[in-house]
Amino acid sequence: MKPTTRWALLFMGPPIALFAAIVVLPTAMALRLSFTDANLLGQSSEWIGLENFTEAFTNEHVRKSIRITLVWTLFGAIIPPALGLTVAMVLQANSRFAAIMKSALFVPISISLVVVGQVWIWIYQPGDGLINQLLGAFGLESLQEAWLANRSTALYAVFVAWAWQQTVLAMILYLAGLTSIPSELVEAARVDGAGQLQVFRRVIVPLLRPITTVVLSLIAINSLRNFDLVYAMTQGGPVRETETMPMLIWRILFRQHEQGLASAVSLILFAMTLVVIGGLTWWGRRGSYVE
Amino acid sequence: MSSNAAPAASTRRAAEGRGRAVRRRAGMALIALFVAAYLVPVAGVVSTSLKTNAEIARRGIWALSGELTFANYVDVWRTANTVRYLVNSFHVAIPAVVVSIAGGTLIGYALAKFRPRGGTLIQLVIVSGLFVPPQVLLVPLFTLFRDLDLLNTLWPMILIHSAVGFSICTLVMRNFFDQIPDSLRYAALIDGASEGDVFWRVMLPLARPALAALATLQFTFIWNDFLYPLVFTSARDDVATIMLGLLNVKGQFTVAYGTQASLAVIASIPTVVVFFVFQKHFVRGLLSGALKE
Repeated sequence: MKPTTRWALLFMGPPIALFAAIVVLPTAMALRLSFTDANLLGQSSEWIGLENFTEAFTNEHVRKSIRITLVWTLFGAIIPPALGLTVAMVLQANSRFAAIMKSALFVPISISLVVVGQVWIWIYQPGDGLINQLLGAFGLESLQEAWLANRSTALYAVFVAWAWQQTVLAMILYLAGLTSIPSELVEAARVDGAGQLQVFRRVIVPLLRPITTVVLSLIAINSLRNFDLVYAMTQGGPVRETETMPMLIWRILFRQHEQGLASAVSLILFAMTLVVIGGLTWWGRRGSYVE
Repeated sequence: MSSNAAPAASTRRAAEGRGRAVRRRAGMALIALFVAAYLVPVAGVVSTSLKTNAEIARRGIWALSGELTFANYVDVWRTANTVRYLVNSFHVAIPAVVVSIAGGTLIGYALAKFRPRGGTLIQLVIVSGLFVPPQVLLVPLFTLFRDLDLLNTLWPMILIHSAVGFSICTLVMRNFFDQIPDSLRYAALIDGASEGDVFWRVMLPLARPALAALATLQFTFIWNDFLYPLVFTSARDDVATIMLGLLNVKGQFTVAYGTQASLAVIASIPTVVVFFVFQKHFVRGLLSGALKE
């Protein structure tokens, strides 16, 4: 054995063993469980082939949660990055504020989703919630709503609370990206007669592409893993209107005790994550100036 | 030609100046709106935590009035399991942050500098851990920890966060050590240092900024985690971490907003402080983790 191989084993062996035990093996076990009718009470564990997957794709609750998660990911990839980039550009132009704001905005992104959920419950509350109080103050009582209890507003309400935090994440990363663009590049484009919009489209956006890839990847992963906020705010209700895939998997596992079906749905979520991240990586590489 | 161009240019410049003023004002308005959108909710929690529950019941959460008092904090500190929750959270976060970063650094260094056969595959497997939804692991791990009799202890969280953290830590550290020239290592080896010495005395001190970035990321992530404590320790309040404790307390005192708010503030202080101190590292950590061209 080459001495460097021996050193490599010594360095990597213990952490890799832990990783195998906690991540790799359980993933393989989940794959096996997804082909069985195992349940948490341990009564049976028969091999039932693809039945869990056919059940997953025909069950209306699973289908609905897939739809919610996909739509959430799509809007999550559009709204927070767009808002974040806009604010980052304004802030960069008014650099006096940028420094103070940058420090202050670490508060919303460092707090947990459980706390974010708590704050937004108070904002949405029917009686003395902030939104309804403001509507009342402007004489718009007719628009007051039990935002989280109403089936048609609950999902949007939870999404807004989530987007509130993700926008800052996008903004902070974009601000770092904008500062790294050499101002000579922008000035050169101006001298060549490019207007504001052209500079944005042809210089800034392409140069920010690597940052955009990071922002979108982080937001996509956060969308697809969205459990904490939903649990804290609605637990999937009212009438399962806000049941994202992670929330549904939790319910199948700990309310219905169906390990097999829960594994199958979680693997569908894993596959969705890989497709989304694969697509983003491809997109990021394709337009990158750095080879 | 030139007599024509000059006035055209000057009117264009004037229009540009007006445009800039308008944009500036629109920008200011946007910043003000943005500040309000973040200041109001945060200030709301802090002010609620400083009002008595009776006052909140009378005037509502968002009323801009009432005496400020630290009574809720004193109360929460004494009655609920707050201190226990905080101790539990540190008990999970500190070992898991240390182990995940240590392991990720060792793997990243070995991959970058020893270049073992199969290294690419090893890195692929470890980094794909970033994309495995926690729910995939929950199903088998729940039965595993139940069989090992580790439910309602802090071990599941320590073990899971340590191992899951290897993914991001390996990615960041591999990229970091790739940038450090091999000549540095060879020079030290020729001077008679062992590979272990090179790693410990030469490479690790250089890696300090990357390690600080990872510490910020990992601490925040682990401290704020709520899913694993909910799944593995929900049966016993005295092993709850602070995030689970927040929900337990909410269940106990449904309308005691002041109590909930003060606990939420206490729960947020550690991560806010860490962010304040390490904010630059955080951004660099996130960007270096994914910008690996």
